[in-house]
Amino acid sequence: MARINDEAQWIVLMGFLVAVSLFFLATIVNESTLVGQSTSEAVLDFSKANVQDVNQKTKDLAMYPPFDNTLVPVQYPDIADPNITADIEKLYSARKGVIISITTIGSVTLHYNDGIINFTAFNEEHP
Amino acid sequence: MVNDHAQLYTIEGITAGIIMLVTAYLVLSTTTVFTPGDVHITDMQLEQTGNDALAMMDTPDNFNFTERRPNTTALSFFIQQNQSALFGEKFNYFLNNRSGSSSSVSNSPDKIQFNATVFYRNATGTIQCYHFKQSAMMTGRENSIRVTRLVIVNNLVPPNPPTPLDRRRQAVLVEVMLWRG
Repeated sequence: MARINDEAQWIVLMGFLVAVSLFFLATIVNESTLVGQSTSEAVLDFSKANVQDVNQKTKDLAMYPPFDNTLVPVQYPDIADPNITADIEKLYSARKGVIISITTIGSVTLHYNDGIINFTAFNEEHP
Repeated sequence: MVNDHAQLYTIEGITAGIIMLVTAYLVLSTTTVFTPGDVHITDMQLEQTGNDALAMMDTPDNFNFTERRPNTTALSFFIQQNQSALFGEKFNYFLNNRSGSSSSVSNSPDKIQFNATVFYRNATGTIQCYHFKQSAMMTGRENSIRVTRLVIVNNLVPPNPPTPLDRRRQAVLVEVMLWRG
């Protein structure tokens, strides 16, 4: 009874192989949730919507003439409306903790810094 | 009495023990990771939907050749004219417009609720706000996210229901809280 039986060694080996492959599958399932979490965290941290929004509004300011209540066609302005740039800078600093500076010397330039994203964008004026 | 019988059984026993321990560890660590990961993923999707809906409403429909600039966007018009009901209707349509409108659960409209506030800079240079529109009352316990959109408002024309905005061309910040409920 208590002696080493060397039959059915392939069956035992296959059992080990199945167990090892199950480990790998469990590890992959475990990692997949981590991947989903870190990906969505990265997307949430990197606020691309803010960048797109501010950049688009700055480009619009640089490209199009200001609204005019007299409806007379206005020449393309050399500088953006200083009231609006001040609005954008103040609102983003107060509500979103983002430092924005829009300068209008020569071309309209946007500086943006929220602690993670930091960039300067030069917007060409319309000819 | 120590002998060298049944070595394969011993090895098998030790292996089984290790398998059970590692499996228990994997199961425990998996459940602790699942909950926060899940919330982040839905937050990200909700934020994307909200930003897209605001961007669609803040896109001009056509170009004005007389003034040589794009026409006023729907979002800018709703804020300037203080039409919060129209804003709510349109925003709700963009947020919850899942394909189809049949009664089956998978094909019915989404259930995203919103609460929109307008932030502006007044004459003295301080930031103030007023409530614009909400689709449901917030209790404060919702798992909500915030999306924002800068809107250029031409407030030279007086709005019909008056708004606290200055009588000038300006940028305001629309802040929307979004949650499912």
